[in-house]
Amino acid sequence: MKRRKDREMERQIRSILNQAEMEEGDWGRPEEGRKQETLAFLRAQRRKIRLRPRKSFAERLLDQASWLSPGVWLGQLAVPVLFCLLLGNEGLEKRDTLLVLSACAPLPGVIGLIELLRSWQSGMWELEEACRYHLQQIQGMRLLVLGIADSAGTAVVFAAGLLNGYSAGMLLLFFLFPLLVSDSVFLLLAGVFRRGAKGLVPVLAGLGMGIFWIYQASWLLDVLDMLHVLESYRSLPVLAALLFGGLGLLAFACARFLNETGKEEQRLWNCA
Amino acid sequence: MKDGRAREEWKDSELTARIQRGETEYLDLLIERHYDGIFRFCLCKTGDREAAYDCAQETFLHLLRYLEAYTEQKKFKAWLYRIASNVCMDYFRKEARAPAGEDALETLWKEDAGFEQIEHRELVGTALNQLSENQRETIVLYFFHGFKLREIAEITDAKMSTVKSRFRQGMEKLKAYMEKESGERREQDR
Repeated sequence: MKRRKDREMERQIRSILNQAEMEEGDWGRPEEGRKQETLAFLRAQRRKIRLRPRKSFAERLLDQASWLSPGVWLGQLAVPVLFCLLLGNEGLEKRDTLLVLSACAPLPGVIGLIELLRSWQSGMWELEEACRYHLQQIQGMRLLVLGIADSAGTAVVFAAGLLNGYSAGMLLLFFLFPLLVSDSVFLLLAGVFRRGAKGLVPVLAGLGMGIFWIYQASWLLDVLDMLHVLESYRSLPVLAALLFGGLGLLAFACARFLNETGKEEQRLWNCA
Repeated sequence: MKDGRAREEWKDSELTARIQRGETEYLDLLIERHYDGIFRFCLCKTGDREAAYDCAQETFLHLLRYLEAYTEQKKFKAWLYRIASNVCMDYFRKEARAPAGEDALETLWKEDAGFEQIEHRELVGTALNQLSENQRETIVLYFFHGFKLREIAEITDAKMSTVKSRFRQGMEKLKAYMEKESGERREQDR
């Protein structure tokens, strides 16, 4: 009963407020003369401004791509070629090939990390923050460009692997998963180090990840060998979990990195 | 426009897209469309007509200055009201004044009203004065300017949960006031 009464009262309040809105007519209306005067003034001000036409998303992406250093593009091109040569090398045993593939999986990430960290070196952060798009947007665009380049490279490596008799599961276990995890770790590190990350940090991070993946791949190869499933491992739930887990981790790392980038100004001015 | 609609029928998003492509003459239409609403919002915030004229003008000057920073992800109207809200806060800071007081709103509501409207407006004006500044702002933006609670959160730079709670508390206060009022009227009728 009380609830019904409450609802009825609320309906009445809404109706009174809505009615007030309908009949407000004159009370909150500016005088016509004053309004026209202001509009004329604003029109005159508007004529003075010159807006630069906004670029489309694709144009902005191409812009950012052109600002990436040539070294990055060379690296992005050289790494898949290197992997393809490795996968096509018949002189190496499959086990050794997979070990090397795992150890080198962080390479594209190291190249990307060096490029992203350039934004904090030699006063670049302040310069980029003062640009038309602030640093968070710029870094977001760069991440996207590097991500597209990485995806293309990965597709090439997968195609080369499949053509040379490696299963998709093997390539996921020994190449894609290490690549996704390494990229995530690098992004998380970049968010932590920011301007402190200079010179050796990406190289050391890459070396550390490379050594980790050698050990991990060696252990995994032993386990799969012991179970006699090295060539035929196709457990879909495990592979799917690794793939989506890796992608999820990478998405989290990207978001975290961009969030940390956005906080840069606040940190600088608060001397944090 | 190809679809044959009059310019006045174009949505804000269509106008801002054209403006950002460099066709700045559409700014006049956008300003004209929102001037009355912004003026009324500033009037509610400042409680003073002269200040409302100044704040409305300043809001649109800010719009001209910062239009490049506007991104399509935000609803234009909510973004504009956010500017207006900040301009009004700046006004209070400069003038070392507090936001619109208890009586200011009630007086404004009654101003220029016809005889038959006064009683109704008095009721609404007094009812709104029962609310805190934040609650009143939320209720006014919701009922008088047609914003959704999510947009009010954007305009007032508050969390969604805070806006919801301001809205709920405001409605509770209004309900209590209306109940008291209707009780008193029944007493008088007897």
